[in-house]
Amino acid sequence: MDPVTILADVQLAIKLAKMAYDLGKDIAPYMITAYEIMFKNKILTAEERQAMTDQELSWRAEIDAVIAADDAATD
Amino acid sequence: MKKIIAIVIVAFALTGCATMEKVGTVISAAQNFQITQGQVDSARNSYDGFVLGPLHKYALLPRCKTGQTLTINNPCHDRKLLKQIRTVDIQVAKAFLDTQNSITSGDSKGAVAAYTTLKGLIDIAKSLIAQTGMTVLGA
Repeated sequence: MDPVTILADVQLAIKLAKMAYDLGKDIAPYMITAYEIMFKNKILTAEERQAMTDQELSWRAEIDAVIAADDAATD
Repeated sequence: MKKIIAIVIVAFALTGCATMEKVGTVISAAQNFQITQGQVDSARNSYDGFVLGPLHKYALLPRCKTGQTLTINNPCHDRKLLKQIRTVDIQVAKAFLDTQNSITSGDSKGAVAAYTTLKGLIDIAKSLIAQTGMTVLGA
């Protein structure tokens, strides 16, 4: 393997790791909460439930905006 | 002496009632006859983590050009797939709301029906989100 190929592979691995880290950072709190509810008898407060609802609304609004932009695009 | 026996019998009867009630709850839960707030909250958190969060990340990628698919070097979202998953997501959100409303109003039969629908929709959403490639990245 030549150094250029090795460097390209390393850069690819770093990109993948960065994407995985970014995604994991966002979703980890939800997975941890689900685990705590299931196995540690955690009960969500009204505030926690509301925060979850707000986050869902925000995500869905952004997704809908992207879909609207996709529909409007001609490419 | 009779009084003591009577008290002991009443005490045993009460304990028995409570125990039977607990057993009944466990059996109901095991047979999916009862949906708890915890089950819904847990399912919602799992859904947000496994489907909605990754879908949001996927949507924020640039739009794929015709014939292009998602790769690490060229991350992009497929507009048709995004729309398809969002359509299922709308149904999931409604099923979560229906389940929550049934639980809040004490309609256990309605909650079971809504939760069953919800679980089916979540399975569809999960299989679709797997097609985006976002689950490979850690979801």
